[in-house]
Amino acid sequence: MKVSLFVPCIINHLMPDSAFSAINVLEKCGVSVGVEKFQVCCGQPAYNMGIYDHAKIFAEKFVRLYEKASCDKIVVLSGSCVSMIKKNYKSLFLGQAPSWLEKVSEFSEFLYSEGLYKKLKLKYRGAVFYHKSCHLLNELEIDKEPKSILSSINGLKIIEAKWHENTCCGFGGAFAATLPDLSIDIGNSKLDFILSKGVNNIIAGDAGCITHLKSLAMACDYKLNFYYMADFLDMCSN
Amino acid sequence: MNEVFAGRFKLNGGVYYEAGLISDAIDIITGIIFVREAPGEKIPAVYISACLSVELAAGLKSSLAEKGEIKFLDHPSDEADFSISAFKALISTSGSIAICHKTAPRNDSIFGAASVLVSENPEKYDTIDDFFAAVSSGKSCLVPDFMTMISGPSKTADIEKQIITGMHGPKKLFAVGIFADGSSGAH
Amino acid sequence: MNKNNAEINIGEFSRGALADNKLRENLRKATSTALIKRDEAVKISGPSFERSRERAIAERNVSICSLRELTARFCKNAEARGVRTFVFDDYVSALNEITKIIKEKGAGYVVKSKSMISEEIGLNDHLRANGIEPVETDLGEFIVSLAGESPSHLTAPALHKSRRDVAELFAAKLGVKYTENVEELAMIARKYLREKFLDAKIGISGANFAAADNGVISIVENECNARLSFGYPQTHIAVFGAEKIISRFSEMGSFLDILSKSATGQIANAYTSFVGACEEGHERYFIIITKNRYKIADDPVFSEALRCVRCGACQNICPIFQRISGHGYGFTYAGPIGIALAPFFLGYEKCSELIEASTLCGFCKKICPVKIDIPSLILEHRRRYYEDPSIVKTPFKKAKKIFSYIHSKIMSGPFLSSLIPPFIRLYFKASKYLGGRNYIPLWDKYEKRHFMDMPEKTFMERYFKK
Repeated sequence: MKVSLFVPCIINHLMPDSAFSAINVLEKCGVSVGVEKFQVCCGQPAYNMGIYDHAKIFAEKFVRLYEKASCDKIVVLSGSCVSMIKKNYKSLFLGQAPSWLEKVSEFSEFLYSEGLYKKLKLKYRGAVFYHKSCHLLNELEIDKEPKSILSSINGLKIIEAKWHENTCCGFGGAFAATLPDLSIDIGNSKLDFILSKGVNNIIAGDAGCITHLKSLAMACDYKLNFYYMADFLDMCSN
Repeated sequence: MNEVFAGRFKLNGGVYYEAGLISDAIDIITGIIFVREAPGEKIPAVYISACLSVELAAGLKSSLAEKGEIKFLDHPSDEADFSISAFKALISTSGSIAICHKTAPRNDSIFGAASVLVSENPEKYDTIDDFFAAVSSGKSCLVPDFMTMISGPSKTADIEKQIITGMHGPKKLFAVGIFADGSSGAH
Repeated sequence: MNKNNAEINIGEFSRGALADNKLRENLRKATSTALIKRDEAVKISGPSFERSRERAIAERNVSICSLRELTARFCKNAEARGVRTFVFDDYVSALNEITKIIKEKGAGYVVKSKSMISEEIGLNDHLRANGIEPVETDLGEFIVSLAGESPSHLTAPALHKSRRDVAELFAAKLGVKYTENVEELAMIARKYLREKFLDAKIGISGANFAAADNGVISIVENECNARLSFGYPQTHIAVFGAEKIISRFSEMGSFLDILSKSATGQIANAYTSFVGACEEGHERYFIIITKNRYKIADDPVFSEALRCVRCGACQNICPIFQRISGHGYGFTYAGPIGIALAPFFLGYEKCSELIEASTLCGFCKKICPVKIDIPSLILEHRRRYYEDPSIVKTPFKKAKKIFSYIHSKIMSGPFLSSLIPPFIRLYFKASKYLGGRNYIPLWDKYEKRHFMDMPEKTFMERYFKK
């Protein structure tokens, strides 16, 4: 199995170790990983602002870069990027997105799909809060995949929020700058909820959530450990 | 016994009884008024709607008068402790009963601290879709213009989501279904 | 407190709302209770809930694309039942007709049951201006109207108020003894409104759904105030939007099924009445408002917004609504569905900030009983905002477009984008030296959001150096 890794901007610039963790995990599952050198942003920020012309620039680059790729899958380390590529590119291409976009797969979705995660010998002692990133949960309906993977870890206690208990992390892309008071408050409610469960370790499926929550935790001096899914799995398989 | 209906009706805040004969129903209602909702010192004021069958209305009047002191009202009013009127159908999975007003005003079951609704061989529906299919096609005795589905006592949760009953309508809801021979008027 | 269609600065409003701890707690309790009850009710229903959703969506798909024709058919069938019907595309004509009817009957006041469209058209203010007192009878509406406010939620108008707020309000406005006991407060309202009901000549209600094939409307409630409003007074006026019309009465069941569970977490509402032909000696009028409805129905993207059954579930689950309540939106219909509809009613210039008031988390879409893809609708509004050159853009929106332009030029090229990190690292070093931390304007508000250090090398740099 050969995959090409698509690394979201936030991970590339702010959390590069997470991409290396992902490569480690994938290789441990017997998957060979390649990385396209000229990859760029998927275009979601422009799309979410409503500026299709700018979003199209990114989308066209993505298509040109990957349409001839020989890999089996394009594994993306983000739910929001996958959602952009698989759901929104078609409105940028006048309703007709290339069919090979089906190759695009989110990281935990991919690990779950061929039962690949079972090849990892995962061990962990302790409790972790699993934050369900919104795009992953609501746009892509990817929930049982990361949960199954985490449930397979011996010794791990998973804590989640029910949907009436603070759901979104409050980042929302441009929202963080447009309505910062609300953004900050939503994120802080999330952190308070996690702390109320007596947990210090947080796993999330999207680096945007991690960046936001980490920024808030730094301001309050909360001692919390944030893991992107790949970071946590890499750590548990050592 | 229509178990599913009884359970859902209870969840909605109502109390359901079943009887095989009109006389049994009369006993049940007398029991509700004098025993279950024991009036204590007060003389219960009861309004009996004109939409009840003659047999039922007369039987109720005499049974109640026999049991104890009672004040019969001749029109629906806030003075009533109990308003007794008729329903025509029950819907199991919604826990609702349906009343029809072609013969009597809709207001009979609005006034009174407790509403008691009785039906002789009510139409029975499993789901709300079944009910609407029957009403639309004319198979039901209920007519769209004059029907109300009742699923519980009057209630509100507008202040801090705390549930209060008897907001503008009855505080309590009782339903008595009379199925001749203990069987149901199946549809 | 806000009046509908007012200019609201959401940022400013949210600061006030976030600082109000009482309000926060009221909203948090109310919305989480509603969500828990909704889940319980859906669980009890089992697979039938999903079936009702699909059936309701299918019926809406039929109705929305033939809305004009259905409106005409509805009126014809209602008239055949003896109901006088009026269809108005503008609010003023509707208001004038309603006032005319009331004055003809010589009524000094009307009893009203819950009607969001009466908020939309500004009915209460118009009636007062014409010497007619509108008496709100739904407890929540009664409370907000006493307070001089507008409802803060689709189905729970006084959601933002605590028992203490209501106690203070009743003591001040009704001259009753102060009590915080919720039952006592409800009974105070009941007693006050009883006389009004019994002496009323006219009752005004809304309608939840209206069937075109027989001209009958349904009115859903729990308190019994609607039954007293439409059934007791001699004259009944129902005001509703054309989007309430469905093609077949037989489909009512599915809508009622999903509404009860999603709105109030009940298996069925206490009372669902069907109203068509009048009782003898009574009169009935249906006032149907079509303003913007046909326009939305014709819109290839937004027509699905008309599926809305007005349950308010999207409001309960929205993290923004949970903090600012309906008052923060400046429009009759608030929360996620409000953002989807507002630009049609208020224009894009008034909604420039409103369409940003979403993290696009998608929970509204998940909980919507008729599966309206609200995040996609909000994104489409954002697109139309920029796409239409006739819309005057705010400075902030202009700045966003410039930022996006720069982003698209720099970040779309691997070489140019690799120049950014060193620049940011330098900036952070300077920021740390001067201010003690990595400061990013807008991100770091009131020092509540810091920022991690930028790693020395990006992933791509490390991977391709190997």
